[in-house]
Amino acid sequence: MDKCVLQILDNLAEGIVILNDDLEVIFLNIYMENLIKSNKEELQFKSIFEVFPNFKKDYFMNTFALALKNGNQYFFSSKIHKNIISEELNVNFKISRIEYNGSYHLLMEFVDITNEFVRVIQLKEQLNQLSSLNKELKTKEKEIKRLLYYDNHTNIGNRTLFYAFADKFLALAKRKKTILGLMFLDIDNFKDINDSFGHIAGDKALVDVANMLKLNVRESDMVFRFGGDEFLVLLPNLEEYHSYRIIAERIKGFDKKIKINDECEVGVSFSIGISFYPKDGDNIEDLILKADKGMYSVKKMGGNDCCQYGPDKVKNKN
Amino acid sequence: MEKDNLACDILKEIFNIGVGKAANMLSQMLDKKILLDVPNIEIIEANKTEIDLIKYFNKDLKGTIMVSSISFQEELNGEANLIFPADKMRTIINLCIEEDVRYDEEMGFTDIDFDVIKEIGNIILNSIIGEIANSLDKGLSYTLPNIMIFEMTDFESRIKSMEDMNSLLISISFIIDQVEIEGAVIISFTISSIKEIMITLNRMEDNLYG
Repeated sequence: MDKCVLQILDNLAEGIVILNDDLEVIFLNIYMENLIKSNKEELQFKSIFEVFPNFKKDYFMNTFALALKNGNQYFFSSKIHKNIISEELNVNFKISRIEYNGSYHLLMEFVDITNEFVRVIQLKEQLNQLSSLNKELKTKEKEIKRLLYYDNHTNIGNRTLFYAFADKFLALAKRKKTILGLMFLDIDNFKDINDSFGHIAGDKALVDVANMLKLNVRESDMVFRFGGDEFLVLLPNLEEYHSYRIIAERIKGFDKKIKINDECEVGVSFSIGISFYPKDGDNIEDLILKADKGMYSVKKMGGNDCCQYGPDKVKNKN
Repeated sequence: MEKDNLACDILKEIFNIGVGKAANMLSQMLDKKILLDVPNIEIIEANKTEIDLIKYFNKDLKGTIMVSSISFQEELNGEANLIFPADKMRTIINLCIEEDVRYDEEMGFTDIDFDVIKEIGNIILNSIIGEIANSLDKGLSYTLPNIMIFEMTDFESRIKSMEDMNSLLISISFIIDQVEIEGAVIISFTISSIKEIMITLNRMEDNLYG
């Protein structure tokens, strides 16, 4: 082979192997020698199947034959043809036909992409870590949202969620010209539960009360903890102002026995005030204020009852 | 018209032989049962202003597509493109390499994936173009495929911009381990090449009828 061509081949940054038409190695460049840690003298005129036994497959034999016969070029990817020249290397390779000294030869070009494989593995690991981190962040985000909108103790909506829903329900009531009720509930003598049985018992009572309230309002109503032992219930789409009575009766009537421990149960009751849009105000603050006043009127009368806000403060006592 | 239909049938047969050989090679290489079928071919004439490739092909061939493209020259000139929907290409790669691919879909395509596609494209396009060369007795030389990602509409514009080319649109079904993936091959020939093909096909027909 021309000395200049040999120099060019030896200077290429890819492995070059030239086979004669009997598929024997007639040339290896320096890069290929380094790649397979062997030298050209050792491999000269050895069959390609002897040098690289993994080529001894029908598929490669056919492609060598087709490349020699038709001059087709073939490309082989390292991903599909693993460990083709060694266990440690990942190479892509290409076979093309060349004409030399009046006969056809095959030029094999090997490109070492082992580092690319390492990089992809690293990227996959990073992606794996990012994916776990992302899941963790999503869980924390969910928890933050829960803490922002839900009372950590009773797990019902808190004051922030109340205002968000109250604004929406009020806007809807204005648009559809419907009645929105706002119930303000305060547990009667809650301080006594705390004082007699301790704060743990008091906290348990709050959870039980929240659950009982949720069970005794309509599906469309929403129960919130406003703070301390105060709860608010939004009652959208009331047909008449007096429709609230059914709900108030249900709250008054349900079994409010709370189990403090294995031996002790206490009964709870509520002082309930109620206000309405549009009758008592057209903004949430007014409705809260008036329902609160109604609740205090009941409280003054001894509790365990419900009354609407009105000029005489105890109007329509239920 | 009948003559054109017959020419079309002969072409379809040539493509079927080509893809049959490709399927055989792929089956040997991957040691899996692989079937390739050519259900339909269409010819689009040069300068056709409105090309709606989706109309010609399966409805899956839309959005992002992956194209393996080779150029061929000598007695016939043009380029051949093997097209698969990009998301289905991921299925093909996964079926070919049988590895843990949990994160591959999130990663998009790596250069290593492109190499797998290049090899598959090389086998299929080699077989089809090789069969055209053999059957029509035309000397052809061609390159290894380039792999490109297109939006289908951009690819349509690319085909449209080949002013002096007639294109053969070949639907292709790729069935690997019972998973069927619809793709297409578009071979664009220069007008003189397509004339040469038609002359050769007519000659073949004449020989057929004596």
